[in-house]
Amino acid sequence: MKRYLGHYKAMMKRPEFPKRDLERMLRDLTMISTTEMGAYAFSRDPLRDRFRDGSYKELAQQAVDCGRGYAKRVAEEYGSTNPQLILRELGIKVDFVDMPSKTDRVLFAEFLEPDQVYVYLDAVNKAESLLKRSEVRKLLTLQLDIRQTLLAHELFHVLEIRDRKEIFTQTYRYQLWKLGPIRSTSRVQALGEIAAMAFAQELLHLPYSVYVLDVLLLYGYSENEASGLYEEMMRSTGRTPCPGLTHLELLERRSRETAEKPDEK
Amino acid sequence: MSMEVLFTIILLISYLVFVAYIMKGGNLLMGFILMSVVWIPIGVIGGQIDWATFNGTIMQTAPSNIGTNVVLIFVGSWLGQVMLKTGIASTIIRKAVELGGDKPLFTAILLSILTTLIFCSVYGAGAVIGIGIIVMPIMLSLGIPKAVVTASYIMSVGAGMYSNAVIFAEKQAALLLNETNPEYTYQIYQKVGVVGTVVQLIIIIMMLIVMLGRKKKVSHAWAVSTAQTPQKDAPLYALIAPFMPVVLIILFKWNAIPAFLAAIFYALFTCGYVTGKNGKESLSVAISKTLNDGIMDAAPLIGFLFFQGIFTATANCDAFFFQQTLGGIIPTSTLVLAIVFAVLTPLGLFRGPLSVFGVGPVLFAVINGLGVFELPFLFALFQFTGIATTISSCVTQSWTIWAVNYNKVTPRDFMVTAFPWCWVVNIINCGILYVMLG
Repeated sequence: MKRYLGHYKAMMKRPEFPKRDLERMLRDLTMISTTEMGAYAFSRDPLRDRFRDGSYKELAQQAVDCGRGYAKRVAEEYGSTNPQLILRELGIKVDFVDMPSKTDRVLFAEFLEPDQVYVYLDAVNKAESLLKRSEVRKLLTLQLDIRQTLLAHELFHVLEIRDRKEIFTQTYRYQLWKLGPIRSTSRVQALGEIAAMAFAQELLHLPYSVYVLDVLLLYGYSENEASGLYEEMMRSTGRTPCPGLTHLELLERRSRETAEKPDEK
Repeated sequence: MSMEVLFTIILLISYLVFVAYIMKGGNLLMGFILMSVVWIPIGVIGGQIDWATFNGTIMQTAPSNIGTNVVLIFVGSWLGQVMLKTGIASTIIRKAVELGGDKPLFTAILLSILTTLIFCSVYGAGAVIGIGIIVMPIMLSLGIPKAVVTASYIMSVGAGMYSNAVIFAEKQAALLLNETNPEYTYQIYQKVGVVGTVVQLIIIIMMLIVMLGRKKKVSHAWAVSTAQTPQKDAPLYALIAPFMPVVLIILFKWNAIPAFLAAIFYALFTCGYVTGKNGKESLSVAISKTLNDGIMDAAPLIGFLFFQGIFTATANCDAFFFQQTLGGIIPTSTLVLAIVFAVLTPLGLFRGPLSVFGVGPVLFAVINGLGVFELPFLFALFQFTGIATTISSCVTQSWTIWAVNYNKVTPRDFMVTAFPWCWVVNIINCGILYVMLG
């Protein structure tokens, strides 16, 4: 099949983003709360144009409260904060799959109704190698277990579907249009994602928003794309991204990486 | 054994080797070059190709005559890049999603219709990918299974291609019809082209109703797409731009190139690319960038058409041998031919002999050379089968591979989802072609 790829890769011209240290990006992103990350989540929602007036902020807060509330409830109900154990109690099968991803859309984990969760190890393995860097580990804390974090996120979606008639992220309906007596409403997908991130953060006692993992996991595939995503996250939350590395800093980084390699052996 | 029979056997063997080579993933361009290397000497030895024919018809006239079509291909690709740059395509998609909301079936149908309508004019892998990265994540986020998302998007692109003037021009060039049959224009073809589009679109909608009506495994995925450059909505009045060429050509009888240029400049003007103010580039910069990107997008195809044209001219000469030996075997009934194409649609897969996007031009040249079938009927059969297979349901198309990779669907799952429906499309279309043109 690769033989038929032709020239499409040439057409997927991606912009060149400034080269940035992962550590610096993570330092900036770990300062942003999940509620503030709601701006990033809503910027990726299909209905984002309807929330350009800032009306998403209150909804984002409600989603965060929903996620946190569920985390506390679940921990109490199951007497555990281990998402894998809780999923097993719920009768959900968990499989760790080694499926390669591409840069343009990296899949980390997925809950397939009614009872299957997949964690895609390609992304996880790459991120776990990055966690070996001392500064990265320090920023993300020893508390972070990437697999459990992904499972916690999917666990929220399992609960969300189980409780779809009462949970805020499923019951909130946004009015799209009205024609006389006919109304069309829609769920807002971003709410589920924000709540799932808040759920994972609360359940696993992480001191930062789990959205940070988007950049960490993407960095394993492409430093350039991770830098671009970092910029998007910073700008959407009203912050200024850090500048790129200077030529001298790049050279220093390269020699540091070369020096570190014999140690890894 | 007569010399004609011997030559026919050699040509057939080389053709079968070519088919096998392509179906195993061989390079189509190299395949046509090698076929020409075999078929030209046969034609020379068999007295069908003399120096004047070789030096003139085959090596000079045939590649030169793709010139007009090349211009249209570039312009079609240019329109695709303009749709991406101005944000018109993304605005159309977002408005559709705002209309449909979280209702997967309604939104999927709406997106399929819009994708089809866009690709009735727009052309190029860049446009397919650029629009795909907007449409497909939306459908995935609605919980639509990824094989269905991939199939419906690719089939929607394919549905537009039946009516697409650029695709017609591409095949007109490849089959040298602008030289042999200049009277057969897009204006004549589009009457059946529109029918092909409508039929495939109806089948896509049926597929979505059936697939999404089933108890399905909805997916909730944690995935990240690469950074998105914030893009302002295009003004509402700009959104007619991608539909302008087809409307101008069909309803107002414009020629293709002015129709496409009108759409391009309308899009650029209405989206503010005039003075270079308000954060937008000036018109000259926007034109340069989009034209350059459009030409880049189409460039490999032009190279391919160049050599395919040479081969088709050769095949037209060597068709004499097939006429002499197989003239009695190849069906002469339009009904039989339509049934053959309907039943043997799978032979269009993997760029097979019934696909005009694959090795089909060889068979086309042979059958056309018999002079039994009217060109509009024969061309449409090959074109429609090629679109239903290679473009809509086969992993030998570059943008299909991209979509399959993007959605993490196996090629098998994609083809198992898409091809049965595309076969139905082709059966219906072959029937309609028989009624309309047989």
